[in-house]
Order: sequence, then structure tokens, then C-alpha cells
Amino acid sequence: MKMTTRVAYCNMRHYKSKNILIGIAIILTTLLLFVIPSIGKDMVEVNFAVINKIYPTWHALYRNVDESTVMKLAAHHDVKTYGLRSDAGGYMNLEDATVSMMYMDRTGMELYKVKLKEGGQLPQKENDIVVSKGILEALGQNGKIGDTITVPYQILKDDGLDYTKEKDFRICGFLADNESSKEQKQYTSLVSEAFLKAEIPVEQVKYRFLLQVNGQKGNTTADYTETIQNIARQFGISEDDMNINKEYLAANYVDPATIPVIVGIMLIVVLAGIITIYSVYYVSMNQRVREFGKLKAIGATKRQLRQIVLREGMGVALFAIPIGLLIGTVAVKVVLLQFVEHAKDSNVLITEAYKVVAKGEVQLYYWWIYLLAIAVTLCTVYLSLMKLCVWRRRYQK
Amino acid sequence: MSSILKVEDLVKYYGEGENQVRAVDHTSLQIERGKFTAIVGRSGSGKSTLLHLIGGLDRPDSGKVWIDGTDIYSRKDDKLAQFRRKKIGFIFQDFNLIPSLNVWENIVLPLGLDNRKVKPREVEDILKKIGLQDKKDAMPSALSGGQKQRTAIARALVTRPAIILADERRETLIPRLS
Repeated sequence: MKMTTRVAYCNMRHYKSKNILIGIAIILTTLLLFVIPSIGKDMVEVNFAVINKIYPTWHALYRNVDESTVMKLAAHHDVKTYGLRSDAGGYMNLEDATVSMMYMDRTGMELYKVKLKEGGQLPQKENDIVVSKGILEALGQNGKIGDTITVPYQILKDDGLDYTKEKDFRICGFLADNESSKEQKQYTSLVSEAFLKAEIPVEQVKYRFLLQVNGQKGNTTADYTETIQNIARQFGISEDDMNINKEYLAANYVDPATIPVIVGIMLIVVLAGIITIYSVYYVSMNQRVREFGKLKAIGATKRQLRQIVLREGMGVALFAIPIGLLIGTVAVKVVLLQFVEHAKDSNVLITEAYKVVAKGEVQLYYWWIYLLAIAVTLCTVYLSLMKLCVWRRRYQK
Repeated sequence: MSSILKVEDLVKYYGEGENQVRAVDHTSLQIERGKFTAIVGRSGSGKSTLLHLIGGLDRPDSGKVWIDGTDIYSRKDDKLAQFRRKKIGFIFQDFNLIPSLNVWENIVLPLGLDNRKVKPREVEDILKKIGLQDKKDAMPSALSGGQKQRTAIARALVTRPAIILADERRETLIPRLS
């Protein structure tokens, strides 16, 4: 073993308590440098995962769009995909439940992530209907696919709800009822476009135009928003008739507003880490100036003194950093689970977030965060020791 | 016989004006090879300063020092350090043992810094001569004052230097080992 390495090793053992304290400081700094970016990134990724699970996938919707505008919008070069929905089908006239009769095309269903139960089809004919168990219970009727049910309904026209009519519908499919629908007894049934046009004058038929716009790699949420607004302006669609799916866009594309915030937080974390480690080494080495003077007197060159200081300091860091990362790895999962478990029943998003974290559906650990923590800690230790070597040389002159 | 040490008009002052201390004031001397020389004087007369200047531990304000024909202050710090550990064995007043190294490691330290191979038998012989063969694994904190001094002496001898400089208080000199 080289003499400088031996001296460094002996120093590490001799100044065990000091080096343990330094090691603890490095462990805590590494922990900080790892946990804060990890939890920040994880919370964003969990949020995005939940949004992608729950939120519809359309980028925006335009309300009160008539048929001719639908045709023109569909042909716009910036519109990648579109779907249609119309709530003008009216409402079932029931005592203790509210059931809307909605038209939605296949793409609209996909954009809303709504699926029929197995064996069902979307309504095509005027008397086709998709219902749910809850709707049949509210109607007081039973039925399966192919059966006929009698539905009392009122059509919503421009001048208000029309008088109640009754019609026989053929069940062509079933939707699942969710917990909140059952609780609030609010359901949605699907009717065909043919039914819509039979009940409402053509000029009064209005749609919700659901769209995804074309984008390029690297486009930000601001780029998508601008495209959506441009299209709306071209067709005279007002802000009030436009709904941009901001959460979905933020979950899937870069929001430029967040970048300075993230960079700012990371800089503060890194700066705190650097100051902590530098201070700890400053105090420790300051107390050993005399010892380094002895080594110099015995004949150690500046380079050898630097080697001894660096090897001792880096030796401690090489023990402490992995321990910090190990604790951090466990802490990230524990903190996240605790956080979402604590609030899991407060709303749908957090309940879903808890499931996402507990089932491991989202990546929690990123190699670049490990690398960042290691690199910043090691560089800080190295630069602190080098700076102290320079300071000592000046002091000893 | 040639000189092992030649000091020419060495000057070292500390401070300025009224507070100036003229620790070494135009001192010159020459010591022949193989000779034993003692520099004695009152406390504060500049003996340690002179010894440190001769040993290359401090740079003079002016003057020259030649050891074994080499003008030591013509060398830069790192080269001077290398020269010092090869050619000068220094025994410090307070021994200057490295607290984290045991007796053996303290003794062979200059050899290690010079990347020279340690000959264990030679070091064992030195340890036997100074009566510390049973203490080679002991740390400096476990040694008496006399044992520390002997370790410091062994460290100065192990490199077979051209000159040994001992900065000693008179009352600690042990005639048998001097």
C-alpha cells in the first residue's frame, strides 16, 4: 500500500468519531439530494398516471357546434382525431333517478375511455339504446341485449324541455354503473344519431366536438393550447364554448412554466448540500492543521498532503454515500405510501393514486437521480477538500 | 575533509519596526562531514530558528545553506521536501510523531513518502537498538516521553541521511544514546 494511502487509512481509523460525524453529515446530505427530487418526480408521475387513468384523452372540446361546422372542423389540418357527443337526446322522465340520453360516436367513446360491456354495440337504429343495470332498476324493468324496454323521456329543445313521450327501445348494449352514479342515482344512456335527428330539428342539433390536435416531438402544453385556440378562433368558437383538458395535456406534454420551478428547487437542494458538506470538512480539517504541518516537516510534498487529505475524505464519502442512497430508496416508498394512504379516501384522484403507488404501477426510482446525488455529493466532498488544501497552504506560508 | 553543511550570511527576521525580532542575524557557519556539533545558547536566542532554516523547514530572508554540496534554497518547495527526506534527518523538539500511526509506521514514514522499499530487518535492528522492539505496534499516545523521543530518533536515522539535526532541550538529552 502506498504510504499516502496508509496514512489516510490510519487517519480514518484514528479520527473515527470525527469521521463518523462527517459520515453522518454526508449520509444526510445524500439523503436530501436523493429524496427531494425523487419524491417530487414521483408525485408528478403518480399524478400523471392517475390523470391518464381517469381523465378523458381529448385535448379540448368545443360546445354548440352545428353539423356544418363539424364537417369543416373534421377537415382541418391541425385536427388529428375527433369524436362527437350530443346531450340533446334529452332525459328519461323518472321519479327518483336522473338519466340523460346522450349520443356519442365510436371515437368519442374512445376519447372518453368509455367501454361497453362485452357483447354490446353502439346504438345505430332510431330505437337502439345502451343502458345500465341502474337505469333498468330506475325504470323498474328487466332486460338483456336484444330485449325491448319502454322509456318515458323528454327532449331538450332550444325553447326548453319538450312534453313527455314514451318509446320502445331495443337494448343493444350495457354500460357499467360506477359507485358515484349509484349513490347519486345519476345515469347516462346512449342513443343513436338517428334518434337524435328524428326528435330534434336538424338546425337545432348541436354537438360537442372532442378533438386531439396534431403535434410535433418537443411540443409543450403551451403549443397545444395555442393550436386549439387558433382553431376555435377560425371557426368563431368562443372561450366559453371551449374546454381545454389542461390536466391531461400537463400529464402528457411538457409544461414550460414548471421548468424554472423545478430547476430552482433543485438548485436550492444542491446548494444546501454543498454548504453542509463544505462546513463539516472545514471544521474537521481546521482542527488538524498542526498534523499536516508535521507531515510537511517530515518531508511530505504538497501533492502527497493533498493525496492524504483527499483519500481520507473520499474514503469516508465512499462509505457514507451508499448508506444515504439505501436509506433514501426505502424512505421514498414509505413517504409516498404514507402520504397517499393518509388521504386516500378524501377524493377519487388520491384513492387512485394510492392504488397506483401500492401496486407499483409507476416507476419510483430513476437512475439519473441516483447519479445526481452521487455526483453532487462526491464533487462537493472533492472540491471542499481541494479548497481546504489551498487554504492550508496559504495559511502555512 | 569536505563540509557537510555550509551556512552563509543567513538572515531571518520576524515582524517590523519596533516589534521586529532578529531571530537569525547574518549567521554563517561550516560543519565538517562526520563531526558532531552542538549549538548552545540562552532561551530565545534563535537556536531552533537556525536549525529550522538549516533543515529547510523555513525559508530565510536572505543567505544560503548548502547541504552535501546542494544549495537547498535554490529548490522549489516540493523538490526541497524530497531533498529533506533523503538527506536530512530531523529530530524535533516535540518529536512530531503522527498520532494516527504506530511506532513502526512513524519510523518508516519518510521511506514511504520517498517510495523507497522498507527493509524490515533494518528497521527491526533500529528498533532493537533504541529498545522499542516490543512497542512497534504501540500508538504515540501510549508511549512515554523518552519512548517518543527514541521513535523520533529512529525515524531520523532510518533514511540514512547525510546530516542529522536534533532540536533538543538540554535536560532531555540521554548521554548513552546521544
